[in-house]
Amino acid sequence: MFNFFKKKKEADPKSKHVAKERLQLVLIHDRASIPPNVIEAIRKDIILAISKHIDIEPGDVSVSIEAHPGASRNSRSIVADVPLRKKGEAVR
Amino acid sequence: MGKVIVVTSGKGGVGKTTTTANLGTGLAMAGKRVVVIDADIGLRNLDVILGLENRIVYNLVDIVEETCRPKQAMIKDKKLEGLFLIPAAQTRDKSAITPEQMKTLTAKLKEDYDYVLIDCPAGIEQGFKNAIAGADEALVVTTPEVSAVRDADRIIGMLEAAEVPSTRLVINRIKQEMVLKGEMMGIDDVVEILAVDLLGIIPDDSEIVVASNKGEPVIYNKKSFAGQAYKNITDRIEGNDVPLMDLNGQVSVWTRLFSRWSK
Repeated sequence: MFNFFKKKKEADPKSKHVAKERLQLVLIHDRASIPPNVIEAIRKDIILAISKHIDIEPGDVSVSIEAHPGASRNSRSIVADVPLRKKGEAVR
Repeated sequence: MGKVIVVTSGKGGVGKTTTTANLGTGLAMAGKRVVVIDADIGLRNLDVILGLENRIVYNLVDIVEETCRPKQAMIKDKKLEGLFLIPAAQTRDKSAITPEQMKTLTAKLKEDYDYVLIDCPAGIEQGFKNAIAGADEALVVTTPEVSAVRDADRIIGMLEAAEVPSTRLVINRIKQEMVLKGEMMGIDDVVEILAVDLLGIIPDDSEIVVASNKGEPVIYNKKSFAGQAYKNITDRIEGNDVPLMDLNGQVSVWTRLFSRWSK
């Protein structure tokens, strides 16, 4: 019987959780006040800088603004994710 | 020396004017000398919520343009000795006054009154900047809805940037039955997202509509939940430690029982 309720919950999350998640995401961007084109420019520069030294796949590089959970309202970071290429094992 | 408190929200229609009217009334009921200012030039409404719309002669713009003395534009409340309203001009727009003029006026008023409450217009433009110019404290009113909370967040950021010394949150129109069913964000959710101090909560209450129909703030209705909630907030503004209202008491036993499963 409890499984039945659990399943239903997973399939259809309560709308307040949806609201909270959507808000948290949208507020990260609102608070950062960094426009998307600036983020894109930063992304391109990072690709350029790293490509000078090692081989990376430009399409895999992502740059985002992230909030620090539990920290104050204005505590945020720019996070760049730069995966190394498969053959990057040689980099080790 | 009194205190200047601006009531803001960002989004319109979340209860700024109702909150200003009720807190002004509540503070005056407690024996304080209070001026409420309608800063929503062109869209005034604080007068009708207080039931004083028929007594308007001069308004806020007349004061700053020195067409009249401040005292002449201040309308005394029907019942309370210590409550005065400065209405907004209805036929002008927000550019009719400047932040400096508001600063001067509120600084002068707080020499003679315990509280100066300002009903801020919706939005983040000129009207908002005028309204917050002389504020010692800001109250941000929101409802537990995505759009209202988002706009509240933006306003909190702007109040910080404008260096308003203190910002506290009022969550309005909470439908606890929906919160228990997981279909509305609760107090904790909103406070966690906005990360500011909570001043008070007001349950959704149809008595608010009845009160606005009559032009008599709901705080006079001591049986109403919203009236009690505003009384609590008034007490907290006065520096008293009052616990948050228990909203679960207003929900049927069945809803409360059912909510244990559906959370």
